[in-house]
Amino acid sequence: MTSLARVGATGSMPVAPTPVLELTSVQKTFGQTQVLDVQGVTLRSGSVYGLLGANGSGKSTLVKILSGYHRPDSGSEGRLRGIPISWPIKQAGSGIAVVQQDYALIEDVSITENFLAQRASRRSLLSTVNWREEHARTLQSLSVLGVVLDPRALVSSLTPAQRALVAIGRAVEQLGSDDLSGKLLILDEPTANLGNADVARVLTAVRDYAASGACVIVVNHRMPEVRACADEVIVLREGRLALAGPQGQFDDDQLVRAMFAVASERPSHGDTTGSQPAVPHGGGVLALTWPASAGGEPARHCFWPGEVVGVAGLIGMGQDHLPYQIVGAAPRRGLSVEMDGRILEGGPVQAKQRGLILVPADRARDGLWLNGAVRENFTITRLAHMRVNKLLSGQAERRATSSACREWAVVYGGPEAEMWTLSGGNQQKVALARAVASEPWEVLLVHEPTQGVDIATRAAIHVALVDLAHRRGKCVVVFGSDYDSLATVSDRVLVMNSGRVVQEITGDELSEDAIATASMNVQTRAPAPPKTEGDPNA
Amino acid sequence: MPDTEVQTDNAAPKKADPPPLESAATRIGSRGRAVATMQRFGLLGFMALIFVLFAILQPNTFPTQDNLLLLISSQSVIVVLALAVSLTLRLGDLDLSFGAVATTSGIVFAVCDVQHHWPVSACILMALLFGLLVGVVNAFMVITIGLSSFVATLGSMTVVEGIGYQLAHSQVVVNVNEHFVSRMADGPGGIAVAVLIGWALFLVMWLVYERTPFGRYLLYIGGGRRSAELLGIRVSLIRYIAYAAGGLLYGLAGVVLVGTVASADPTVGGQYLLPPLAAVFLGTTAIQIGRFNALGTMIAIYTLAIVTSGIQLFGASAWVTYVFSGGALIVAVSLARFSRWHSGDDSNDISVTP
Repeated sequence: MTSLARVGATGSMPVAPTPVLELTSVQKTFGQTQVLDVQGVTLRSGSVYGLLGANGSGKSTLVKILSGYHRPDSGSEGRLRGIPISWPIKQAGSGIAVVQQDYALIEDVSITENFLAQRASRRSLLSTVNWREEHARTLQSLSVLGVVLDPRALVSSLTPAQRALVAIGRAVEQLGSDDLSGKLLILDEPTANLGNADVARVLTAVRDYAASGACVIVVNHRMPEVRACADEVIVLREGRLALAGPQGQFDDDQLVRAMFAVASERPSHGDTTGSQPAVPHGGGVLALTWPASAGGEPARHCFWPGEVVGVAGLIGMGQDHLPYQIVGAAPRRGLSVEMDGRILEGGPVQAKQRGLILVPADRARDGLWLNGAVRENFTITRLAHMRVNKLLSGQAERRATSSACREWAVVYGGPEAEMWTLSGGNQQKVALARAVASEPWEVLLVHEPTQGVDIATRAAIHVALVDLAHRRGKCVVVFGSDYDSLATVSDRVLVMNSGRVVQEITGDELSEDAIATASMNVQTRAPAPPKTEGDPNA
Repeated sequence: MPDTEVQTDNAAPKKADPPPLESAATRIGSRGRAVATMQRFGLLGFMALIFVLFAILQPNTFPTQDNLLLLISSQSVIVVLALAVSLTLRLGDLDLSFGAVATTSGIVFAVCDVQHHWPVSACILMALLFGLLVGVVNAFMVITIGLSSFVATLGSMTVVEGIGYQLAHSQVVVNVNEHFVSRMADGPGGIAVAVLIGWALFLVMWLVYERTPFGRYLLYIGGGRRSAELLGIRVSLIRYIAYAAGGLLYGLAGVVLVGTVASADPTVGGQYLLPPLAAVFLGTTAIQIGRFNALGTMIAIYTLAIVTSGIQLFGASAWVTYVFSGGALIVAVSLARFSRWHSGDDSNDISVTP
């Protein structure tokens, strides 16, 4: 990463003018969960700020507040260029522009047409487009970033780096060109989909832009990239400011610790089997075999009854895709799945028959029927058992639902309450309770089980997952990028990179730090992760 | 140096006592429940109200036995069609082909009967098979090929209508088996067999929707198809069955149609498009708010029929019926949307994505 020479002018600002943005005190609460509580953040012109934080640390929420998508809780205070902010921040004229992680470009039209939407507001609906002029403006805006592209080119024909630069160029144009000091550009993981060379190019453009006077926030959690582009770092953890200051003052270890907290206590695995799971009998209940690839040999990993295995990785590194591949809801692409030594083929129906069940991450889309009652969601997997005289019995359903919800301490308005009235954590409990109740099963795959879940529920889910493995002898595999959670529940953790397991962390080495370091320091991230259509996270 | 001491002890799970089971959701309150009950039975109340109103305004013509029997029997085809189309609507799909399939199945029946002199049972079988076939083809287009149900069935509707014209040689097929027609009209207590078929179907559908796993699966797939798939539910199979059963019942509606009017007219398909749709959508505002349900559908059908009949007794001209049918559909869908809002559903607003 030495190619990313820092061009910024650290310490070259004698007098501090009015800060671009001051967040005196900003809170955001969803339902009963406070997801953000930030105080005393000041951003100044000409600097690049690296915004760091694990999943659920509140960085997306903060970005959404700054882009005017969320209105923070009442009582929140902040100043934009010295003027008190009235929430929610209005995008137009605020001098703030945001580049979304997915760039939000329209694929099948030209670069200029992607710029037109934001220019259009200045024209009447019926006026015609002067293409020559519009293209020239696009060219001009891109040249600010040192990019030369044909403005007529279709976005779909661009490389990932070019797309990133077009998206940034569009935001830059939105900010105007007259006086950059006071303008705020926010980039939400701009390099998430880029290879190394491209990362350098994009980050250099960002640095140059800041050097001309603007203030830039880059959401990122790759250490080398933060080092290469940020003057200052702001680290969030669990919605609060964990650390802030000039980037050079902190070493990698300090930053990782600030992001993930330290010394997370592991739950009391002890009573049953000690640190190691029971000696497996016969063979792994679930085995995954990846085909040989350019990167190396075929890889095989087995999962045993009685253990909790974590599968970790940065977003997009494959652990988000794998659970859906295993059950056959996404193309397996050569991945071979064996249950009890026999190859598993087909989709989720076959997976269920062989004792493999999945609790997906996206509860609203993949997990639950939100307009349905809690009862209807809970019993859907075992309606056959809810019958009296061959007909469904509402009473039997309600009884089963109530007793499961009591066992899982679900806070809800009764079995007939509609699912969407429950908080995220309680929805997740119902999803897990349903999966556990749909016997017979042997392997439970859970994807981001504690995402968007409050702290108490998070702890309860941890206990439940460990209990399933250690007391009931099930095999539990937890996929996610919440390293704290993974370190807490897992007996061992597999770290994925580019769709492959690259490291296994076991025993005493297992800690949140170790997972974080393993997933972040994984040298080059050159080959892009397999992008597949039907990607559940697309 | 900003504070770096964010609490770190939360990760240790405690097997502490469960939190008190209380939330906003538990406190719906009796007032909320009263509102919900009013919503569920509001349409029924409205039906009673306008019935009384017309009875007072037209005491000599409206509440007579003849008029009421006529009113009920005029709805027999619509009952079958509305219940049939609710199958795919519960899945979240819209099968538009029902009116055309019913007319063309009726023509199949009439042609087998009038031109080929087949026994009535064979004619019925052919009509039902035709409906079933169209249902399976629709299912293939929507589920296997993946077309939108609206587009696929708009196409099949038109194709089936064309087949009807060809089979009937663009003419009304008359002289349908008299014995069959009189049997259809003559039931116990003066209630036509055609009506009884609709009511029997209602009972079956009610049972299927409320008391069988299949009915539940339909709703779950309609509300969370991806979730159903990931749970290992046989989503495609269930959708195929719904489309095929729907087609079969459209065929049944065709038989009922020919039985009540004693002829088969290839041009009437359009007349059977709007009323059943208006009824099923209006039905979602009754009994089970926001859901396509059998009892709500029945209430809606007869509510709309009473209003139409009342209007006709006042001597309104033909255009009123059109305006009323179209208006009823729009109002019904609006009411359906409104009653979901009213129950506070803003499930699109889940924005807790860290």
